[in-house]
Amino acid sequence: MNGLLLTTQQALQLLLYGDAELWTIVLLSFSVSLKAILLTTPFALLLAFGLNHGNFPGSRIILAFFNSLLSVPTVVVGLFLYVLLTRQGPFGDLKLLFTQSAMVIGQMILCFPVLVALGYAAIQAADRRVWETARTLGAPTWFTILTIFYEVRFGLLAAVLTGFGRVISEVGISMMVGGNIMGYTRNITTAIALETSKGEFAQGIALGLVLLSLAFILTAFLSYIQSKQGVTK
Amino acid sequence: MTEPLFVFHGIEKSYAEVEILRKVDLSLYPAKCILLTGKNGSGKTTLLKILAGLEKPEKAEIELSGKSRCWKKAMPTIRKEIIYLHQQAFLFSGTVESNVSYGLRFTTLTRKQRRESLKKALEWSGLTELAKQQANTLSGGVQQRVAFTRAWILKPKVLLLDEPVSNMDQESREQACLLMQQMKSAGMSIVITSHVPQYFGGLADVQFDLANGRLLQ
Amino acid sequence: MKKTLLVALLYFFCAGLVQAEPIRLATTTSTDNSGLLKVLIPYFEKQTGHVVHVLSVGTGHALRMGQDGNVDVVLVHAPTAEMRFVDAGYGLNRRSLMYNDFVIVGPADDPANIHGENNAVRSLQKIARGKILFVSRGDDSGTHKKELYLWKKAKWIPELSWYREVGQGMGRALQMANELNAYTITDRGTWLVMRSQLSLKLLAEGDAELYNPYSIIAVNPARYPSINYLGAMSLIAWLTSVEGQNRIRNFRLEGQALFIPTAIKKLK
Repeated sequence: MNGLLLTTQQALQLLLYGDAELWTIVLLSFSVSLKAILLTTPFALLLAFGLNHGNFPGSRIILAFFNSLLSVPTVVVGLFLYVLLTRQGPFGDLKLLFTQSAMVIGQMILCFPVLVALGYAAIQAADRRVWETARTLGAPTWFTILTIFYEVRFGLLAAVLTGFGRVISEVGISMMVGGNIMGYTRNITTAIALETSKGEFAQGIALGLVLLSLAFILTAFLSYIQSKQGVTK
Repeated sequence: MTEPLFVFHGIEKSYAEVEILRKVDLSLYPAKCILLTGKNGSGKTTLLKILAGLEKPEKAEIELSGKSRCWKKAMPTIRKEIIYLHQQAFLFSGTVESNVSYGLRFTTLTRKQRRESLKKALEWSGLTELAKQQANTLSGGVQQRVAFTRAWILKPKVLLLDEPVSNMDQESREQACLLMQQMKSAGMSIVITSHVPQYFGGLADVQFDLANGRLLQ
Repeated sequence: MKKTLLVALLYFFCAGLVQAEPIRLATTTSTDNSGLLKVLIPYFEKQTGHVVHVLSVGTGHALRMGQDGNVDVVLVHAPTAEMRFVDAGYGLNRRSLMYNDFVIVGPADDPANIHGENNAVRSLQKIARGKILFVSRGDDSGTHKKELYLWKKAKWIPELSWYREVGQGMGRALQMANELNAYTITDRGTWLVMRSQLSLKLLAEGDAELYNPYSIIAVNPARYPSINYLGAMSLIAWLTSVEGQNRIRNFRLEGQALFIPTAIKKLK
């Protein structure tokens, strides 16, 4: 128990006194995951919309496919992407392996199903009359879609937050295609993996604390949104 | 006799093998009000939505500048002139202002003109004090006024009102009828559906009954 | 306001897209964990303007990365595997860089009684005969390969009842050995860093068989034209230069010298 307290104390010191290496790692996590979410959201939500209003035969199968990917193990995605990006692989010439871009791509693959599945659910809850009212008042299709998104914005935000939670805490992809390079592709989760493999628990715990606080904040925010959603309905 | 704004021929619509509308003809004249009655489920809403371009008929023709054209080709051009209002006033989440001004962004008015338009419209229906109020906090009657104003501000040629005064107390009903009278006086062609035709005695110029998919006077 | 947001977003996404070509170095976890590269690389980067990306994985994985052309240069400590690597044409210009040693550590009361003998093979035989718990890296790393070589020489096949293959890094493996009160082979560097946290004791060292030589090899550009061969050679040149070798010799871990440079025969 003493060892644990001492380690936690060291961890807090590292965090509070702005250990540069530590904060580089934290910022890298955010940078990569934010990019992944920002790049994925527009396309995923448009697809979710299309699946909702498309009425084409394959839509149910596509939706089932994305639902099945919701809990795919991250190492599987990482391995799959590694094979594609390795020099000898089909996309080897792009030289993406062991770069942040590879991590972003992997995380995009990871959060896309989440955003589609949860976005679909949110959009489905939209009143049919939103579409009709917007159209009759002269809105072109693209603006009608935005109007619908605005009406279900809390559900969409919940989808985005869930997707973000999924990617900020993954390690399988970052480790495999990022390579855990210090200052370049080392993020919170791969750093924790490294530090614990070295037996350096203080750093690992410090980073773990950052991740836990973030998870807590996200969850609290999500509940706040859901309560607001209750009010407006 | 003035020229009709739009003439619809031979509207046919079926849902799951059931014929809802059989060869319905309707002409819409400016500054005239049509009252449409019929049982629940007789297809009144469907007819209005087809007129507004929100639902696709099996077959229909529209007369434009003397020539008859199929619905598919003609609808896109006339849709902008026709606005449909739902049975229970449906407002977007936001304020009275944001709702009323929703359609303005698709017009060619300048920012200044839009503000002017908004101000005048709110005055027209007496909503100026409520401008910043959240739409979902309003009573049913006031919400209906907001919906009217939202359509009025765009100066459409045709207004299709689906059961505009159902579930309203007498005072709200009278206010609503006043606004509808003003819209008619401004030259708009109005179609109202209702299963209580007595309310619209002074407003309606002609009454049709929709039964078995056919329109009868 | 909207314009600044757009510019900020663009910067966020594009910054870092255009970068000088880095030199990718794959090395082993024990090398990286000693902190040597953290000290050396910045000097190299400053003097040459190159950027080095260090990937630290197990020896087997590092060599595999070189074979697949995913890195430009490898720094490992597994002579047999290295020679096979070069013979197969995967690597060029193998240079001996430095050496340190492995040590055998174990429970303070030394149940196998290996202390003082300083003979690696005999120590392992004693542990095997006594069926005393032994932790193995089990991850194809340089340390693991050395350990397997020693078992072979000792003519013993370890048994599951007392042999634990953990498949983890050296630091973790030492902690597990500590928990299990087991013996294990470790590189001196990791031992120096970890020993204060552990109740294990250093029980055997100095045997020539525990010699741990490091080499650096450039990945063969003939196989993958896009390899940063010039960068790799420039790194090798620097590390094997008088300055590089001196810096290696002067490196201290926990106050102790750890690596002995071997690239230049008579280093002053």
